Amino acid sequence: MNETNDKPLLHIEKMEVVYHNVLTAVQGISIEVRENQIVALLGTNGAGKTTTLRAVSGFLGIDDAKVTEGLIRFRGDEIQNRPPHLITQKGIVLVPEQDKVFDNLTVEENLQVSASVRKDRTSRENSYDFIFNYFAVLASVRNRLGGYLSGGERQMLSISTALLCNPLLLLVDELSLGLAPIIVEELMNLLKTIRTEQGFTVLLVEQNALGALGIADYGYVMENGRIVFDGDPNRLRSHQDIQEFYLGQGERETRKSYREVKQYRRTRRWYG
Amino acid sequence: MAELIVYGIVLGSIIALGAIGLSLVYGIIRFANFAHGDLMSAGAYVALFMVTGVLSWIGVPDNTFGPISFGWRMVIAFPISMAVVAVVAILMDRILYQKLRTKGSGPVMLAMSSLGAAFIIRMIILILWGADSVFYHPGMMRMFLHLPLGIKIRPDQILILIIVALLFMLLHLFLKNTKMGKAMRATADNMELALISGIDTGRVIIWTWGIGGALAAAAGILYGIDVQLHPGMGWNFLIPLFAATILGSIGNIYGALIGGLTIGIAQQVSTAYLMPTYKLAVAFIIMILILLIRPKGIFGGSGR
Ligand SMILES: Nc1ncnc2c1ncn2[C@@H]1O[C@H](COP(=O)(O)OP(=O)(O)O)[C@@H](O)[C@H]1O
Ligand SMILES: [Mg+2]
Repeated sequence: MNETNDKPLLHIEKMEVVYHNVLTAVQGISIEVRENQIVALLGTNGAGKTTTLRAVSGFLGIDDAKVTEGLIRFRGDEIQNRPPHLITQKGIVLVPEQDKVFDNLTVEENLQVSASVRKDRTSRENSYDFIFNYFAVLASVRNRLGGYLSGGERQMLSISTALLCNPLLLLVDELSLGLAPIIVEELMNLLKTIRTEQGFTVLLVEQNALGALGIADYGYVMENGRIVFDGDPNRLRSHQDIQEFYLGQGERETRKSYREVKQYRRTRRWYG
Repeated sequence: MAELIVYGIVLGSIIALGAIGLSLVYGIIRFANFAHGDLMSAGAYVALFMVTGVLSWIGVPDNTFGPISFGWRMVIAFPISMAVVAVVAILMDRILYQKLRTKGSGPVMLAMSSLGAAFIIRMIILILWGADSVFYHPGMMRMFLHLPLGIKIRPDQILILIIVALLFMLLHLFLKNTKMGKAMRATADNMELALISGIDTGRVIIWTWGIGGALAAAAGILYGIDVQLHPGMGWNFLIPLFAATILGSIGNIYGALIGGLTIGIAQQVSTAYLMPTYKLAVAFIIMILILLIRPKGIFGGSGR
């Protein structure tokens, strides 16, 4: 990892997360996110990505889980195990994996309830019109109930409501899940554009490694609750194991032999 | 029969007011508040205390408005009682339920503790006013208007319908158009996302109890005007309230309105065939049937 003198915006240090006091889902991971970066956190289903994001955003308590070891620092302050509203106030905003919009509220009302938290900030006050510049399609469905939106529209609305909370750090849990490839590409590029224009930082959790590495400045790969690789996108993309296991390129070749899998296990230990 | 339906609508509109509050509370805090009926009693008796006590001591005249069985005293007592019971409901949450919630108690514990709260309210009423039935204006002659189809209705009852319709419209506008109303709907929809969106759910909960309590008080007073006051009145409303709430899909105020009217009409119409004492059984049977056939109520979606 390249060491610079300035402190990262978000610094997760050797964090361990335990569910229901017994089930360790995340084991001593360290992640750094620097200002204005897009950092991708990759890994297969069950790796512990959502758990990590919920630890940062303070929602572990709702799931009866706790950060049992390690620290989460945001702009230098320790925020592990803090209640969610205090964390939101600091500018960390989550785009959750599930239940991302209010189903019984219209698109416009979804935006309005979120906009209400910004009343004391001066920028963009009482206006969510800038949202429609990025997501024009939302303007055309503004009176539709959240529950009747398509998957892509739900994701756009969810990102929009998060933007209205004036994030310094946006945590996005599975941008691409369940969406058509063409929409994924559009959303990824939009996220990067918005990040640049509005000036915030993104921690992006993805199973779709290829898509995420396309916009990320740095990436971590997680498996079984541990970080197994990290590096800049080019390095991750060129890494043989990652190509096979996360980018799906191995599947074009013959099936992996047991030996190769074993080999992979061994290398993984090097990084873990 | 037409007359029974009209009486059913009057009773049903009162049930609906209570059920709406119950439904709102359930939608946001997700537990069955068995004390809701007794909040209705509390409202009725606070109004009685105002009408026969405070307002008579400070000299508000006792005369009634023409054909209606109450006057200025009730006009003043009505909103005050709503406010008092709103505060009682909020305090109940602060002192009791919120403590239990932060301790991580489940919905069963909360429901049990609400049973306790219900008993306490009823005991206070029993101690202060005794066990007998009372009227806001004892000895009032109850006059009837004769409508077509042989329907007899009291001017009071027409007024009750108007008041319920007004309160419902106000609530509807509040939920649709104000920031707090939208925040309440959002929180009922998805508490976790509400927290993510930075909605002050603590304030939402306070408002929810306040509105629920105020509507319960209104329902209790209106029942007192229509029939009589009795310490067990609210408790006896509990089954119709829950039946209406479940029928209308828990958490849905429009459903609760329709549910309330349906239960009210069913109860009154049943008296044509059954002894009036079976009225409550009718509500109970409807509730059981819905739970068996369509547990999410007539307005409930099938998913989620
Ligand atoms: N609410 C929960 N209770 C218990 N275990 C959980 C809970 N949520 C997730 N886990 C466990 O934590 C591990 C990581 O899950 P998760 O963070 O959701 O992974 P990912 O987002 O990478 O798919 C899994 O083994 C999962 O079983
Ligand atoms: Mg996940």
